[in-house]
Amino acid sequence: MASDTEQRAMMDAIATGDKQALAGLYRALEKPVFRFIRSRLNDPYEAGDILHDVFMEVWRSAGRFEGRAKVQTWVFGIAYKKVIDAHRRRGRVDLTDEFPDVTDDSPDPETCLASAEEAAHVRHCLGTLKDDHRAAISMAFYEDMTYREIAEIAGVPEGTIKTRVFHAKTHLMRCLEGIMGRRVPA
Amino acid sequence: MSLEREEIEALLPFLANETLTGDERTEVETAVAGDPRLASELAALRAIRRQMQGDEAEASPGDLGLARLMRDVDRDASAAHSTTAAANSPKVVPLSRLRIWQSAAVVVLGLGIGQAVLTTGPDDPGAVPLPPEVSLERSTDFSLADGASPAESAAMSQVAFRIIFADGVSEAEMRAFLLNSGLEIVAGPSAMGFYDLAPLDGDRAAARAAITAAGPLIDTVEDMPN
Repeated sequence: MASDTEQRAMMDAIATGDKQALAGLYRALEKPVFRFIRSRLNDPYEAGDILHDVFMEVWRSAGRFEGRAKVQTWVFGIAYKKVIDAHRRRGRVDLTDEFPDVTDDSPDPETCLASAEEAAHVRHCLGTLKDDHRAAISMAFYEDMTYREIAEIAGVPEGTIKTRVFHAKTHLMRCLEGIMGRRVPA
Repeated sequence: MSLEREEIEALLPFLANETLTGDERTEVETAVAGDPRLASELAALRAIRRQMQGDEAEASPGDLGLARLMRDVDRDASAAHSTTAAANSPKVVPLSRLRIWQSAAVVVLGLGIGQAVLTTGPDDPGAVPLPPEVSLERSTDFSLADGASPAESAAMSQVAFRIIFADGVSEAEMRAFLLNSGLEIVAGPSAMGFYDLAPLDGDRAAARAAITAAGPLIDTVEDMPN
């Protein structure tokens, strides 16, 4: 992926109407932005449409990029808001972090580790998280972002992101443990 | 700085993704080294992260998405150019202003007719005979104020889209587009170049998709209310 310095140069060029620079930025960020959007939506076609809208907004708003954040953070911020808009349009009701009941509140890390070795388990359990929890853990684990960057994208205090990631992690581990518990009864 | 146990647990995912730095990193690493349960949790989080990053089950739009983006950026640019050109041309009246005047004219006409009917009444010996287009109870062979017959008016009520073809589109291309999209021209072109279109089979959604697919043939499209 292009470095942030290269991406800033692309943003400057996009602001002057350089379509090739837009294409360059699209190639650099399309996959992670799509993956982020897709992690929060069940419909890949809608995710593709939102990705398109994100880059159209980049094209129209590049002149307003002030350079205080990384370009990637700024673009993810646009994507973050567009997914929220999509959820609002559909009147989507958030999932309530439902996962199999377990007797102990603290998930067993060893069991979680075994379950986490299966990509399908992880995918399934991510799908059970509330949107804001899923968004936070997606940015932390898909894109290796710092909690400061995630807070900037979501427009909330850093402490809120730490809390969201904490809840996401706990629910994720409980869900993974629950899957193993169902497969191998004690 | 001394972090509480809960804070250590909250920061563990950021040790797993290697973004924790400075004192926070040192403290969390120290806590993990002294607590086998935290160490196991860190291993589980690293496994989750590895699975998430390795999960490439679904392809992104890629080059197709880029082609779509470039097409719409071109449209955006040409639309902006048209708007600027229109705004700079003293001969071109913005469509919104035309609509305001049309609406105002309809309101004034309606008020005038209403006042004539109220002040004279149909049975008033001194009543001024109303023209046929206003005497609705006396005749069914009327035409509307805009000159359209009832049949034409019915056709107009089916209008689903108002479009302007792009510059340089030939008549043959227009005909092919209409045939392929199942649309018919109900009215137009207007002085502004508008065509009113109605779907032959009433399927607005399919017709809309066909208009979208026509891409550069269509310069402007406006969805009309049902």
